[in-house]
Order: sequence, then C-alpha cells, then structure tokens
Amino acid sequence: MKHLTADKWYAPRLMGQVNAKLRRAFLCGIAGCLIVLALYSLLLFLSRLNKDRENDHAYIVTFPDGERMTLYEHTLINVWVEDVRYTYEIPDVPFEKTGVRVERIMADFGALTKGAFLFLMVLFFWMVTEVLLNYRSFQHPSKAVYLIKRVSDRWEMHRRCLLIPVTALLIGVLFCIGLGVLFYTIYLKMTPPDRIPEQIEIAIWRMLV
Amino acid sequence: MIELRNVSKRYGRVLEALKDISLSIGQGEVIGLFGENGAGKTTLMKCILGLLGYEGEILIDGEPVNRSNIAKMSFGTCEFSFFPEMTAMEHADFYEAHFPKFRRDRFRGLTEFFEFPVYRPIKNLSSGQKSQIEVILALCQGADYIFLDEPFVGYDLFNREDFYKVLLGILEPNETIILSTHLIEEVEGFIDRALMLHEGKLIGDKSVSEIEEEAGSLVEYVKKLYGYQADRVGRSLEMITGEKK
Repeated sequence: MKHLTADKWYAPRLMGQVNAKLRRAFLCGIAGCLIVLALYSLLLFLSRLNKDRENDHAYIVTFPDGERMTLYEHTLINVWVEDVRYTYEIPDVPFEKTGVRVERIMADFGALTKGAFLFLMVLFFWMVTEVLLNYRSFQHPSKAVYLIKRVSDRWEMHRRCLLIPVTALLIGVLFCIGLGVLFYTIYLKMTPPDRIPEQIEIAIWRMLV
Repeated sequence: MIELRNVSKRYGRVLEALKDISLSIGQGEVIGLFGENGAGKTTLMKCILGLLGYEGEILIDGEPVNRSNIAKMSFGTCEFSFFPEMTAMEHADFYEAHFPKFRRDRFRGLTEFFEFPVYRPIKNLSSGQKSQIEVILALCQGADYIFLDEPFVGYDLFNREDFYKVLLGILEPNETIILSTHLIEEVEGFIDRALMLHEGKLIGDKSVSEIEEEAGSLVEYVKKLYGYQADRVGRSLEMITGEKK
C-alpha cells in the first residue's frame, strides 16, 4: 500500500503506480518554476538596480511655482517663465537661468521591480489549469465522482483536486513576499540617501506584469 | 431496510424523471429493476445513493443517507466509477482504506475465478473486463445494499451465466442486490422481486412467485404491464414499405 500513501493527494488522472514518474515530474516542475521565479526576479532586479546606479536616469524637476514632477530618461519639457516659453532637454537645465531645478535621483522601487514576479502569474495560470483538469478527471473518462462521493470524508475529492495546486501557489506567494522584502532592503542599502525618491512607489501589481 | 417516501426528481423545469415513488427494500432480497430506456432506473438508484438531489425522503435503516452510513450501499454502474489509471489491486487497497468492511477474500476469489488481470491499469482493459471489475468491486465493498446498474455491458454469454451462479453462491443472507438490466429472461431465474418503472412512475412491485401466478413468466408480465403490442412491428413495416405484411 506504499503507493496509496502518495496517491491520496492526487486526482484520478495522476493516481496509480503507472503515474509515479508523472507525479514526480509534476512536483519537480513546480519546484523548478519556483526556482526560476526566484532567480529571474533576483537577476532582473539587480541588473536594473545596477544600471540605474550607473546611469542615474531618473530626475525630479521643480518648477518656479513649486510644482514637482519625476521624469525618466531624457525628456523635453516646456516651461513658461514670465510669459516666455523655454524649452529644455533634461537633464542639463541650469537653475540660475530659469528657476527650474533638476535633481538626479534613483528610479523608484516600482520601476525597478516591474515584472520581476512574472513567473508567479505563470504558476498561477498553470495551477488554475491543474485544478480544472483535476475536477474534470472525476467525470471523464470514467465517473469516478460516483465512488469518491461515497467515501466517508466529504472533502476527499476537493483535497485531491486543490491541495497541491493551492499549496504551490501559496509557496509562490510566500517566495514573492520574501523576495520583495529582500529587494526593498537591497534598494535602501544600495541607494545613496540623497538619491532616494521622496515617495517610494511599491505597486505590487506592477511586479506581476 | 431502505425506505423511499414520495420521492420525485425533476431535471430542469420540464423533465420529471421520477414521480412520487414510495417503496421499501428489505435485507437479503435480490430485486430486479426493469423499465424502458429513460424510465428512471438509473435516476432512482442515484437518488437512493445520494448522488442526485430529489424531493421526498429516503431512509436507510431509519436514518437519512449521509456520509456515516453511505458505506452500507455500494454501486456498480455501466458508466464505470473506477479510477482508470489504477489497477484492480490498487483499487482493492483504496477500498480497504475507505470502506472498513471491504471483503479482500471475496475480491481475491472473484478476480481469480474470472482470471482478471489485477496488475494492469484498468484503462488498458477491454470493456467487458471493465464491467467485470466494476461489479466485483461493488460486490466486495462490504455493503448491505448492492446497486448494479446495467452491469453486464460487454459480458459474453458464458461470463454472464457464470456470474449469475457465482452471485447466488457468494451472497450472504443480509446482502441485498438491486439489479437494473434489460436481460429479463436471464435474471428471471434468480431474482426474488421485480420493480417496474415506466416514465418515472412505479407501475409494478411484485414477487416472482406472484408474477408467475399472474402471468406465467416475468417476460409475459412485463409485456402485459407495458401494453406491448405484438403486431406493432408488422404495422410499422407496412407503413414504411407500403407492402401489406
């Protein structure tokens, strides 16, 4: 009954000794996806951070009336000063001439982590598909649902369909939270204090796409 | 005992699959459940097993069917309820883990008798073998009430005859069989009671001895009950071909 112990976590399509290798491949695939998630996001973040430190491509522009805006890369802006329009190419705008002040800063955290956790979305859609296939395997090709609904544990079918995919997703989310904390700590440690933007945008949704 | 009180089942708004059925099933009976296609035989079985919702009341040994007493009933169906990727032996392990009264000795005996390949995944077997294992597992679960829905699909004649003999030989006094089949002539010899369904209604519930007194044989009784017209084939052929038969 050794295989039966492993079987109790799986839906009909993955049950049986004949599918032992497939089950191992499935679990290895999940682990691989999580490892790729961690490595990809780490490499992406660090490379962006390093590039940003070298190029300092974010700027805060302060206008004479006190309005401020954050600009990335080189940008053309128009400024009206005493009814005269001046056009400038950031970053080289001298303050003394126009009253427009430009300060170089580090890109905000959201820009550095944009899309870093893309693989979590990949894992999400994969696990949703697994859940749907698991439930379907109780109806096709045989009506195993008639058997599973007659066992004493009313959660037997749902456990077999949901446990592994939901656990994989939860582990993925925990990975991302841990990595996010790590990245934020690195960001603060590696950025000179005078280059940190006043408001750091941490948009979680930007990390996923 | 299984009791049904005013059980009805409707699919959607229009289709009444079961209409106000009341009956009781005692222990130790072998009951044949008969009816034309669409009469409601499978629906009736599934309602009793709790696999479908219904109106009315169904009690097993005085209590509603629930997860704690559902193991008293087993189910073998022509739709197959096994796990295709598993072997018969793995199914025996599964049944043993989930049904405490699983009969391993009976399972071993039946699979040996039918020379069943117990170490091959069921998905790789013939449809007749799939039907065999479906019935074997239902008989070995250790249930008091064994529901078999068209269990002989794919069985050859010799296997069917062997099966009837084995079935009568292994059944214990407390075990009840409810058998749905179209093979009326074959099962007539070993059932105790016949239930007739027609368009969702229970139109007949008699013991075999009563049927034999009334109509001589189960086949004649069914024909009489369903109003079978012996000349309808001839009349239909006349209509189709235009030739008088």
